[in-house]
Amino acid sequence: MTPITKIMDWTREYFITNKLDCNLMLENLDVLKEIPLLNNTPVHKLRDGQLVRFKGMIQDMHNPEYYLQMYEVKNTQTETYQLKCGMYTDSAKCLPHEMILLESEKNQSSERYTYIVISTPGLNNWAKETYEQLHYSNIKSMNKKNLDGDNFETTNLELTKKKEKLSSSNSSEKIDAIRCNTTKQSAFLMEYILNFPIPMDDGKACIVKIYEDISLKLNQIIEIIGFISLDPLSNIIDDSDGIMTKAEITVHNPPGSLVPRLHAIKIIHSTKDIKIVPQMMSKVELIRNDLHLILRQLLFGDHLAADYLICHLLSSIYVKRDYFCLGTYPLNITHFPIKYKEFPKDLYKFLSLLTEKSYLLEITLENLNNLTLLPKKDYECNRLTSGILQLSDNTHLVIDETGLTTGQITQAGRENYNAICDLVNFQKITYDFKFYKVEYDTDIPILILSEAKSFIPCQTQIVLKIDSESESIYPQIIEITEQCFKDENRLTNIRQYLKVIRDTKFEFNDEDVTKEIQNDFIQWKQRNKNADHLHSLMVLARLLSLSHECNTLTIEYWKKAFQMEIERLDRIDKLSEKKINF
Amino acid sequence: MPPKISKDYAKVREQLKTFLTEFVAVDNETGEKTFKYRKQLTNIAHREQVELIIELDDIHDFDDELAISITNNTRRYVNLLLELIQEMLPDFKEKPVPPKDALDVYIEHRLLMESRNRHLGEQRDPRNKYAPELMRRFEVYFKDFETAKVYSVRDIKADKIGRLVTVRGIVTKCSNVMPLLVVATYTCDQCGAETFQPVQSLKYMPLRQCPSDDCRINKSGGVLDMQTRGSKFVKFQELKIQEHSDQVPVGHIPRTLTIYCRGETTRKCLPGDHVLITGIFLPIIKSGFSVRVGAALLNETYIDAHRIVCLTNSQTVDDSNAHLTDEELSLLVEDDFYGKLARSIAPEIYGLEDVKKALLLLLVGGTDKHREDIKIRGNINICLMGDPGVAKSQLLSFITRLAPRSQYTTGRGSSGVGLTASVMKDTLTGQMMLEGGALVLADEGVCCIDEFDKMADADRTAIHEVMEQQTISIAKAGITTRLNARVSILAAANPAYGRYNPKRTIEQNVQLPAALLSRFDLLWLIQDRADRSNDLKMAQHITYVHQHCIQPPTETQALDMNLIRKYITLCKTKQPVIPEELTDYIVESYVEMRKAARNSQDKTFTSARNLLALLRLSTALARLRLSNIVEKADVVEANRLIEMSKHSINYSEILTTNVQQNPMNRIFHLIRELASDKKTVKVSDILERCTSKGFKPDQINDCIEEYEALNVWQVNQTRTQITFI
Repeated sequence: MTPITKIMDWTREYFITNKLDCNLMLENLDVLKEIPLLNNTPVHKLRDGQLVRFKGMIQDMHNPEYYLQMYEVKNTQTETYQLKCGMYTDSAKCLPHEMILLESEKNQSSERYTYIVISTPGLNNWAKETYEQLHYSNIKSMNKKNLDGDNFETTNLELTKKKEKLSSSNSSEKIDAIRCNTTKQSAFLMEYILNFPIPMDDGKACIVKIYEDISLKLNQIIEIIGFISLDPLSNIIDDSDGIMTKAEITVHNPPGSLVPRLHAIKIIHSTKDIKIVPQMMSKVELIRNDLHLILRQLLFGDHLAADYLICHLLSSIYVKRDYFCLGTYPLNITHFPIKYKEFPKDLYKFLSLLTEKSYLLEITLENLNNLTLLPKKDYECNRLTSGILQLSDNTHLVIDETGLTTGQITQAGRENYNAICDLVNFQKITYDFKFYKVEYDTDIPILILSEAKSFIPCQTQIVLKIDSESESIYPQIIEITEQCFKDENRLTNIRQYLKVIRDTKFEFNDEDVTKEIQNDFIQWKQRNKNADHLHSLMVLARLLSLSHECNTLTIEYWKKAFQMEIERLDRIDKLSEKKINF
Repeated sequence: MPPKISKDYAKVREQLKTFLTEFVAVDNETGEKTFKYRKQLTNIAHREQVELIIELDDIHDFDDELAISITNNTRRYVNLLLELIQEMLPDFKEKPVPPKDALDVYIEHRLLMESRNRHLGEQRDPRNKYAPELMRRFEVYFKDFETAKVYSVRDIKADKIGRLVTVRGIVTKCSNVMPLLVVATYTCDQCGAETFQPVQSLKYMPLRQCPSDDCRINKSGGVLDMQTRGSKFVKFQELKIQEHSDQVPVGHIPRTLTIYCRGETTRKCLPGDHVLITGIFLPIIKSGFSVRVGAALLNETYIDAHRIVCLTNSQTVDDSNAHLTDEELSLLVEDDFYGKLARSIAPEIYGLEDVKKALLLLLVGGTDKHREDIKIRGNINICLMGDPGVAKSQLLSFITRLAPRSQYTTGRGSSGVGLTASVMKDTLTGQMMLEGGALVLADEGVCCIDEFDKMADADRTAIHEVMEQQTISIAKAGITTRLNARVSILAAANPAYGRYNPKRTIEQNVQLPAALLSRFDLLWLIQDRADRSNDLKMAQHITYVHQHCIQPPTETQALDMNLIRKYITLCKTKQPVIPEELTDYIVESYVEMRKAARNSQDKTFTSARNLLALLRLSTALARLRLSNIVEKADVVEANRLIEMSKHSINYSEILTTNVQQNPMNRIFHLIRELASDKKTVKVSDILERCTSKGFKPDQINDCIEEYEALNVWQVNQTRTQITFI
């Protein structure tokens, strides 16, 4: 067979026969960019068996499947036998005049792993846009190529063509029928099948079959390259053995048009693609100042709070053992002017422009009682029903507590509250498997916005010191900031800054600094501060140094962090004094 | 190959026959010999027993190779044994057996008919022969080796197909028990001949055409009708099991496995049960014709159950792999393992070593004593008090996670009913039922109660009984009963006024009555103190962690939680006694304690309960050493712990808000405190006490000189002792 250089024209058969060459080609990241991205391509624009990319979060894992890796086929016309490969397809395919020999000795069974992958929850629009732009050009060029490719194929791959045509002609009607059905079914059912933790307008879910036993964890973000299977008949499952309940069948075999199947040939862990941007590194200080200025304006002219917020935005876990984790820096911003009710939403709007993934959780009494925050195993249909807190690492969770009112809390509400507390304090989420609970590690930065100290225990509370001038011109500031963020260049810089700095390595082994820290701590301790604070203070010093592009801890930044902390605590003390005076 | 195999099986058949007839089990105690399987076969022949469980260990004793080949190809051997036993059974029959059910009668009639037919000299068509399954009234099951590895669902992969495996998991789903067709019996509407069709899988294709000679030769086309009466059914149940939480790798979703139970293995468990299942791992045979062959590409797998054992809650940790390996044991025998074990409790919390030691003893527990009606609890109760933010709740939640059986509740969150037991009315039958609360559920375990002080008074009274008598009495809605609640209580209480006020008594501070407080063996007051050397250590610890992202190497590596659990279970098997010669010492130390309590202003309660606490702690310490005898060192350590716990309360520091208070004055007060009513104090004691409070030695010397000059005290010439004037 002549090599197919266009990666989009690869077929299953081509890949199986030329596995080595293809894998080599897949190493090239630029080539991969040519493959259409399923995340924003409507399914009807793709053809069955086409190579696609999909980027998303692992939402659930099913039991491994046993499938026929090799099976023998008998041609009833010529009475010849042939071995076929069952990889990368939903069902064993054969031509009308062929017969699969199920009892053949040459058949080989093998195991493949099924994962449910959904579009990354909380992914902000700007982060999506980048692919989309790339992608639109892709579709256009791809369509053209497709046309060319089709002619090319007829000469080359007559057999596959025929088969495809055959399947597409008789199945297209069925596809339509099924699509009709799905549109008729209420949106609720679709939501039920897609099973997203948080509502996503353009979210997609995929059943991904992986043929190698690679270690993938729940809630991990992965990029899959694989053959899409849109076979409408794959959801018609012959289950006369009665192993599955009806609910299970619907959930596990949703229509292919709604939840396509993907047979993966390559998995890319998204954590790997960190690119250091040299031109950005040279102007870190400038970008930081810029960001600081913007945040300061938004936070009513509060320098300190802006510093804390930057540190918070950069935080990610670097040590984790059991219930002990370092690097997380939950922040509680309080005492903003009551007259600006929209402040939490405004702040979130801007944060969502800066962070790649974020979600605003409004805590009201009803929400607390009614929302399902924790994922729960549903044994009736044998799947993990998602909850809002099933988020991937580094998704910024902003909790708006201003809407909370007094009232009765239910058992569910209490559980939800505990879930949030565990998340803030231990970065752990307990999934409910009915008969027992399993804890999953998370790395979700949490920002709590509340009028007074939050009802969720959060170590770092920052009381806003409001500059009366900034307060009076707050509506204007919002407008200015909006204008500010129209500047794409500036935005990209900040975004890169946040992403790169977060993943920068940090070292600190200066003995002098250690001594200084220890002395300061003892001084501090004699003023009766809690021991746990040293941990968070160390994290703060680390994040502060990092934000200034300094990957080791110096006395200067330590002192600065120490000062920040003292000022922050002073503000809290003042507040309580004020209360007493009243 | 095939001839060889069949020859082999003929030999195996003989082997199994000798095994069944000649295997002798020797009773360990009496030394009596019994024909273990012969006896059972006789029972089966008399229809008094249905299931025959063959232990692989026995076969192993008989022929080790045979046992191995049975595990590798179990299904084959089960069929072999079924045939073999059916053949052997008539020999074991000692008396005629009356027919038991409709099928028996049915078969009896047929046999009678057959003998008549034979009398006429007719040959019976082999195809119309009675299926052996129809006559079979027993089931053969294998019991896996005692030492067999218990797999998790995840480990059951394609290479285990056909093998006998043992899996552990939790039952998540149980279907109803349904009748499953094993042999279908048909009669022909033309010739009246009976046909039997054995069914192996879950599905079968009914026969339509009569295969008897009459119909075939005459081409009369007789149609078969199924006879429900003459067909044989077995009980059938489908289970789903799921991996237990400790078997799931971090960040993964638990996997599930389907189990098919037939006959006697049905109705052995319910959803939520923790089970060990031995069975054959098999793929589902896809029979019949499906329009879309493609669907057959996937194979389902299941385990054909042979043995289901429900594990009770306490057994879950005590399964076969709970034995400590030599390596693990050697780790524990190392020096200072007591300290090491204690440090492994909540390693993320720095310091508080004595508290951790006490918690370790709580997990191990003392020995219960029963003599007729007198019952003395061995469980140790501990109450942690202290300022907010001193990691009390963290300790509690760690213990909950560590203890094999535990309940965590908060005082405010649980009413007395939720804590003890409540009487519920069944909505369906209107019957009154008892439902256990946290304390009942934690029977023989630990019950952690956070915010103990916030509990309503009425609820607290329920705990009085639990803490001393270890039972809960219920007299509600016509139900009067007493439930066991043999629990160790670990309580945490916050001071009533935000911070612990040393000027008040404990009762006032935590607002708990003395009657309840005295029931705790140990009361710890954890205070957040400014102590220079301690602070420095902590600061070093924390900076190290941040620098190197690991725990400092000088500290012993925290032991694995599973290892601690195993060790504690091992400890609990010991029942140490207190030797005669130690009684005097114990009595003496108790008298000493009482005396000390009288003389100084003691804020704790020193009562006879302390003596019991002392005994419990010493026995727990002996258990921890895996010893059966309490030694003096244990009593000394127990005494020390009690002393320390009292010390933590009696010497609770006044938290002065005025930091700038003259150090001279503060040192003087410390010395006065140290001297109490004595006249002389050693300088070394002063130094030790003051440095631990964060004073520098020269400050102390200045103070001593200053007050000497003021003639408050005199210092001897070697400057080792001061005497008050």
